[in-house]
Amino acid sequence: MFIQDIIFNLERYWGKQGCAILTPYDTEVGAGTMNPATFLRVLGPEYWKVAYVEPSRRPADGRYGDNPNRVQQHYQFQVIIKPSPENVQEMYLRSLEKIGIYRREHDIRFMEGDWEAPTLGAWGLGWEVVLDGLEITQFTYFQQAGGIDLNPIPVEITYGLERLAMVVQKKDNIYELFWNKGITYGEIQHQNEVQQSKYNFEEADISMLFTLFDMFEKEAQQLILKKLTIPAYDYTLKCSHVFNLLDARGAISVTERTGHIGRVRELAKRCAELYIQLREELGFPLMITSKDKNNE
Amino acid sequence: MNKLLLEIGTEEIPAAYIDHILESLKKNAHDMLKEQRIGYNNISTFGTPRRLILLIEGILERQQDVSHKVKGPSAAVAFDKEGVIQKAALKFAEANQVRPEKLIIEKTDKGDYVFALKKIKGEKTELLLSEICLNLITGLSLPKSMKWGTTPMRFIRPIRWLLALYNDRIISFNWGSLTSDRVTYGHCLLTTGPLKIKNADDYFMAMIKNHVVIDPELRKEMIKNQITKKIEKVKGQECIEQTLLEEVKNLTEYPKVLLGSFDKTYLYLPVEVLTAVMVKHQKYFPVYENKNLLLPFFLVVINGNEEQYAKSIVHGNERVLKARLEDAKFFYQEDQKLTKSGLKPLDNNIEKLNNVIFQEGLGTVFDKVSRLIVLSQDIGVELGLDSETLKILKRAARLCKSDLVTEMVKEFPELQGIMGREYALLQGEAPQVALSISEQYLPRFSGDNFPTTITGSILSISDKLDNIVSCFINGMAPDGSQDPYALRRQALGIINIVLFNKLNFSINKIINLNTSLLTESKNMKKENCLIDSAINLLIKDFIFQRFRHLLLEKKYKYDMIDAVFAKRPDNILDVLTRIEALQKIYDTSEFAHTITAAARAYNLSKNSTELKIHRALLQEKEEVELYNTYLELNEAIEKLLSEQRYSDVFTSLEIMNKPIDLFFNKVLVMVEDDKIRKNRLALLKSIANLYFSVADLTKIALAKVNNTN
Repeated sequence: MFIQDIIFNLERYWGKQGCAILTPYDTEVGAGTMNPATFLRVLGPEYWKVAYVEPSRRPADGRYGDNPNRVQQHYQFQVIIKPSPENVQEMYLRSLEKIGIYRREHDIRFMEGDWEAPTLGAWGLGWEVVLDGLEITQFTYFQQAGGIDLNPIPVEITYGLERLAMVVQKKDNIYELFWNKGITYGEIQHQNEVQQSKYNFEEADISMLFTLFDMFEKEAQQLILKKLTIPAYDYTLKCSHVFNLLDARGAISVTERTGHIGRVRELAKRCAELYIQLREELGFPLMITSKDKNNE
Repeated sequence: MNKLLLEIGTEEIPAAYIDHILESLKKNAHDMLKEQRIGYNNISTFGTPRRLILLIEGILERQQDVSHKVKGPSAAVAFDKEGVIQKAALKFAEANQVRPEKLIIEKTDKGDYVFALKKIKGEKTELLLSEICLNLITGLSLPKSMKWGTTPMRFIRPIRWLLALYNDRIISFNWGSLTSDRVTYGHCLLTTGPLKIKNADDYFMAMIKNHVVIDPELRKEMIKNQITKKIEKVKGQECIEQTLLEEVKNLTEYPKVLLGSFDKTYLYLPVEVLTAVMVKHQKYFPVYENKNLLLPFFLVVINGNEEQYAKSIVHGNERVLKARLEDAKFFYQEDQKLTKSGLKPLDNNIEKLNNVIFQEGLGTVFDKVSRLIVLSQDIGVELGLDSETLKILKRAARLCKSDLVTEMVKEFPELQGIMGREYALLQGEAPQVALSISEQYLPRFSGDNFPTTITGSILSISDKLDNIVSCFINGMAPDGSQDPYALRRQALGIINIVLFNKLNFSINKIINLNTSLLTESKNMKKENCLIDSAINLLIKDFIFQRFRHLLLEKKYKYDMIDAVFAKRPDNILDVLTRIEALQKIYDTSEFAHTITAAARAYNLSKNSTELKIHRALLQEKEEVELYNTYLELNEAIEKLLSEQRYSDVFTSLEIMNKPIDLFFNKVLVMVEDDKIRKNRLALLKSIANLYFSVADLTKIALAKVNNTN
């Protein structure tokens, strides 16, 4: 099965489970969790069901396209359902069947793997799902985001698309994966890895990035004061990405590191608080009504 | 026989917690039944990652009856003088549903009172079980808990079903939005759909049929037996990692062991690297040819499966392991890249330690290394090491943290020290330098090995002490049961290394040096730090507190420990030597004599401050005799003390016992003449000091007995 078919099948499956199929966000993110469709929407009492692909950037993981397993940008398939359904593990196992992974034929295990994102003040408990020894999914019941206790509790399922494809296509090298019949992952992504690695590790302009960090932070802060939490959160994401670049570039000293993480977390926290407040002012329009409940 | 079966169906509970939770479940069940006065034969618990099971057999039909006394009016009010019962007593009897003639009179502190013996008949057990089951679930002690969905309840992982049966009947209760029922599920990969259960016996049959081995011990046996067979097949040595076994037994509901292999070219990597990849990351059992040599095989414990898919599952695991080993090989080569251009990678890494934080507010690991060099040299000099060994120690200290910035340790943090040793050997360091680097982290846990080299021991002590001192200065000293940096374990490590390798040095000096090194460091954020003279004392006391625990654990008597600790010692080995000297003579009659004599000398002179003895003022024969003995002994004992020959000190002291007895019999100390009295007190005080030169003998239990007599 090609990578694009894995995406189609997961989208179709989760669509049938009532998830709205969204698109990736248009700002650089380190993980699908940072997309506002997860980070902001998991806050507060409103219900929410979405799934989307997210290209996720981890500048420090770049290997100039030389390593068969590591890349500085990989694709996640992200599912968020709030509140977490009772049979969500079963739903997940069935989703694997849609991409040809049948539970009777494999060793599938839910291994303890708690998750934490310090820059977002978010954490949860759950598992790494391991398929025949390979971690293919992170499965998490969020407990906090932006330092705020969540209620109801959302479940996040994050599939590593390359990992899944390597199992399904039985490949040992990420670049040999077939995206579709005519083109490989390598043909699409390899130059991206080479050039971005060079940029991340060697060419990124450190002083410009430090300036940008300060500017983005300032913009986020003033937007929060104007009660514009969504653009403020965009600038928080930009801060986070700039921080990751500086970190990969080795430009963040030990003492600065915690300081910068703290600054991003503070922004995320204030965005989260403001988001809940603004949704409340709107009367929490996505609260489930008794009519919806009966239809479920 | 009545049976209660409770099954809590969950999503995967982390393996490490299951045994602990089952223990808590068993204990709580026992306590609750006792409290509820419900008799039973046996309680057992079972569990898998997906279920916690409680079985109580032989439950009695009813709670035990109890009677208890209710206090009524005083006898004087209850009966008149002729003994005729009065209205108050009648009312009391009626209220308590006892016949008036059954009332009894008993004496209390406040005189005679009327009591009613009230019988409470036991309830039918079955009626109490709902509440008991509910309380058992809520009362479980959990190391971590979470929420899910919309339920306000918490548990270690989401609960998805509850089965509660008393014989054939459902014990009905609600936990959050769940209601208990007679429904369970089999193995989550091999079976689907709910199973209806009649009773406990039916449940156990259903579990077997549906591929669930509910008993963790049985799963352990199954894994062990399968591993042994597979190892035999490839002619490996029987060697099963016990901690991994304990973990994997709780990772599956139906364990099945499969044998996989990897390319033998990877075997050139250090054994510790290979096992880190296999054991820590993949939960595979490595196969050993002998203790230090691996075979290119591994054993994976899977969650039960049909034989026909075993091959492809093994293949999947082999691919993952290959990728991991390939990574490890890459790191190993990357870390040694500089060797080709004639550079030493570990030396090159020292600068990079500037970018590794040691502790928030306390600078970097580079700073720590600088401190370790000074500290370890100081201990080395104190211990009288020769210049060659001091050089080795300095080299080991300089390189000791360089492996923290290697690719291998970044990927496998548990290999710290071990990679340092391997890379040191590869860059041509002396074997003792390399060994000392790996020994700096020993002992890592209770029961672990101690460093065997003197240089490794000193480095390990320096590293641990610096961790303790840093945390204390940074306001992160252990508090109650909180000890996040495992400082107690590290203090105990220092003590054990000192005792194991018989290292004779004063720890105060090293602590003082360590605090001043830290406070002088330019990278330290001084505003949050606790720096005052008291900190050194606090740290020493902290270490000696651990020492006291250890001594008590080793069955030394507390009074001996107190007696030596009262001397405010700061040399760990010396303390043990003193205690052992006490131990040797503790039960002898001579020692009892010594203690009595010492106590008399001490008690008489304790309020006097004068120590100067004037020969000319000594009048009596016994007095002169005692003084001469004292002079003789004082000199001898001083020498013995400096040689730490404490048993000999006690033998010498016995010489004093006779002249001092004679002195007390014949000479009056508290005479009118001021000068003479003061002179005698000075003599006694000097003698008392001599008696107490090894230990404060007033702390010895025998002395306490003597004193009260």
